[in-house]
Amino acid sequence: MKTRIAELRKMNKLSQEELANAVGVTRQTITSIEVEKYMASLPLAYKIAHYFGLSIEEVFDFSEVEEM
Amino acid sequence: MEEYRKKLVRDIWVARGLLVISFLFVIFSLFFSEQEIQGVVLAVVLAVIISAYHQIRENKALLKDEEALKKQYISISDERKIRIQEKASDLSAAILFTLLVLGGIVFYFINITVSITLIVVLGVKMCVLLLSHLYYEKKM
Repeated sequence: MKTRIAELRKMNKLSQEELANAVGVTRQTITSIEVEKYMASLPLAYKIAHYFGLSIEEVFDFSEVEEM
Repeated sequence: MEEYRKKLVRDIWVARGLLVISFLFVIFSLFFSEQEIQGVVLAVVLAVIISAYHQIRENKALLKDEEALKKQYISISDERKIRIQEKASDLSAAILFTLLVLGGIVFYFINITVSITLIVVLGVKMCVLLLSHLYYEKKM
């Protein structure tokens, strides 16, 4: 899933480590989400979006998620 | 995080209990038993003592250092790590299942006792899998 995390981090001059500590995950998890290797859970997606003061849809791109 | 802190304190008490039991076992075998502890038993008792002591020291250090505690908590509660563990255990269970089935078939022609043992292990494994599946079906 595509995300704007890297872009938002750069805008806020945040390192992956700092964001990871703020949302309670490891740096590797943030890296994996940024490079689209891992899909964040809903609580984590909420925490990340909330941290940047945005909604989940503004951070994560759900357009590629298959509809049932 | 509070729950994790409580868990660390609980683990310290468990480790202390293990230390006491191990020392009592050593004292009993030295003074009250005719048989001295040796070999594998001695190694197991020593391993328990060392690991319990290590656990107490590590947990106490974590409880004193807030930053280290947070890092450790993040490390064990990280959702990606938990997902990796789940996937790895799923894969290893599938491989083990396949090996048990193949082993059971192959050993039928070589040694029937080994074959029966493997089939029994497979049966027990499937029962445990079914029971844990039912448990989580009810829980979630």
